Amino acid sequence: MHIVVCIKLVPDPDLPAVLFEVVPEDNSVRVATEASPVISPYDSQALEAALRLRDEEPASNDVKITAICVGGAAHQKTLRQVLALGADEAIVIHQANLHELDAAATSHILATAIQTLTKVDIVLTGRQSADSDAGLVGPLVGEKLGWPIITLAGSVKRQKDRIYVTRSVGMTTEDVALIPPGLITVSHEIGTVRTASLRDLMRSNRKPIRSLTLDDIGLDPSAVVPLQRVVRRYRPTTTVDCEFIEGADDEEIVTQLVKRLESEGLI
Amino acid sequence: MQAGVLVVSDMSHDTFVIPTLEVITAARQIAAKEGGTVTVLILGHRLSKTIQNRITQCGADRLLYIDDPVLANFNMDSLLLNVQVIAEEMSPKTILIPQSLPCHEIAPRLASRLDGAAVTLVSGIETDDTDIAWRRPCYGGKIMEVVTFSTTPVVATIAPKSFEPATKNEPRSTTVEQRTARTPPTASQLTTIKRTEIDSRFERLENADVIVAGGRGVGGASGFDTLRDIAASLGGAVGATRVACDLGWCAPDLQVGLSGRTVAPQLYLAIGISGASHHLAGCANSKVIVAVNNDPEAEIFTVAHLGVVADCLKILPLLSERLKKRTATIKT
Repeated sequence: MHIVVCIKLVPDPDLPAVLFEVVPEDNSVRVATEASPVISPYDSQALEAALRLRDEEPASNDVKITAICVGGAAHQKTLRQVLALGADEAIVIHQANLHELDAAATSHILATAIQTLTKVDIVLTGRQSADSDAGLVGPLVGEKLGWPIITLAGSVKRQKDRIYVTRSVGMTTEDVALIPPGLITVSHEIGTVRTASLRDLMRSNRKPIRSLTLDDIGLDPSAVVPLQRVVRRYRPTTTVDCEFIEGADDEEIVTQLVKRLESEGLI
Repeated sequence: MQAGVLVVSDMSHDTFVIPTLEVITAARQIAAKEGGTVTVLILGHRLSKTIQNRITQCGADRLLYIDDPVLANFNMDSLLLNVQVIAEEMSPKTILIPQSLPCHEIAPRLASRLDGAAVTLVSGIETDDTDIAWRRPCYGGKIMEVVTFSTTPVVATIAPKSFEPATKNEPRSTTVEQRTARTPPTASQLTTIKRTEIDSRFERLENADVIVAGGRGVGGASGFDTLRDIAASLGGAVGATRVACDLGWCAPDLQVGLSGRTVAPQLYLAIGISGASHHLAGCANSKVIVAVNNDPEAEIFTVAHLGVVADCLKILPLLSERLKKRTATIKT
């Protein structure tokens, strides 16, 4: 079984909001930090889901995991991390002007690349990336491949030739069965992801990272056209002045708080 | 491509009425700029007549409805096929959908099939310039962006509470048509084995006037018991951060934020919530936010109207007791 996991690198979403700045010239977002970009958290969970599918049947040893991303030289270090976690190979498709790529262009590149790989059974992506928050690329790749799509997976299991997925959708939990191929987007219910040890990291040096150009995957660069134009980006302003309620002890604070909520007619 | 807006919604449950009315307001804003009509397409199974009547009185020029068992339970293949058929017949420039979780994937999939573009989490529409511009949060709500598209149709999902619900004061003669459902070819590759309804907390959270929400600072599942007591005293509902849900302290469907629910109650009581931007993106439109946190530098105090810097574990039981007594006094 060949599983492809789509990976996006993003500025660490846990960094404080004040570090995120918009570059006025091109509306790109710059993060004032020395810290390297991280794998978008939902994509980490997609990789985790792939690794668990392999762990389920260690004996059969028939699962191959390929991580794929659209990016540049900067992505090599992170992909090494992905290999250390257990992916068998990594592919980076080189593309200049990354910030101009929208979901349509990215999904076009990814779907084309996936079609050039040997018999892919499952494609896993995060439900949405931590930078665009849009949740478009996964379903778009699935549509372009013409495959069944399962979104918001909370658990992914395998039994023989079938993949069983539990998804939480608002009020309901749904159990679905898929006969591959198919595309699955992964949500946070997957839970904690594993970390790589130094030993894993050193071992991963033996695994290949393939660098491909659009040409290599048979894609004419002029065919990769973003449909979206960013008119502007800005930091939302918060104008609220927080009034702090104080008191000699916790009892008094609670008394003051309840009084205040009552006088404002909120309770 | 014609001018005009197609609003797509499901009406099998009355929780979708308000989000749909909000989207009709957005549709009217676009129609006012570009001309053309607002068509509302309602799909589902066992659609309520009263709900349909309400839609016809609130700004739709034309109402199409398809009521069929194949559309039950948000069957995505059926929904997509039936919306696609209507969209191809009408060829509207814009298709608007309420951003409710079951419809999460419909925007990109429909856009792909119609050769259009998709945009999600839309919280505002700008119609001053030539092109319709869509405003949405990104980077977990740390940045807002305004985007336009070079193709049509644009399929947009509209975040809840972003527009006022359309009201009855705009009388229109709405034409109503029932359409027959198309049944998609059975996809033998993908089968649904089981569906479990969690319960109706969904409804309560979005409609609650008071939400008592907890994060890591409430300390554990027992902290959520206390939050439930407080919510009960105030006639409100309980919400949570993603961390609290992931730790298993409460049901995952209580999550408020970018990947959970968007709420805008009169009072949002944030207990032990640091204020990560992806959480704030789901509650920032609340009328009054009251925050309790032991860290005076916590992000939550930048959006809170009232703040208490204290240990949540000490404040929680005191507040719960005080409110219980108060409720008892009011009743007697």
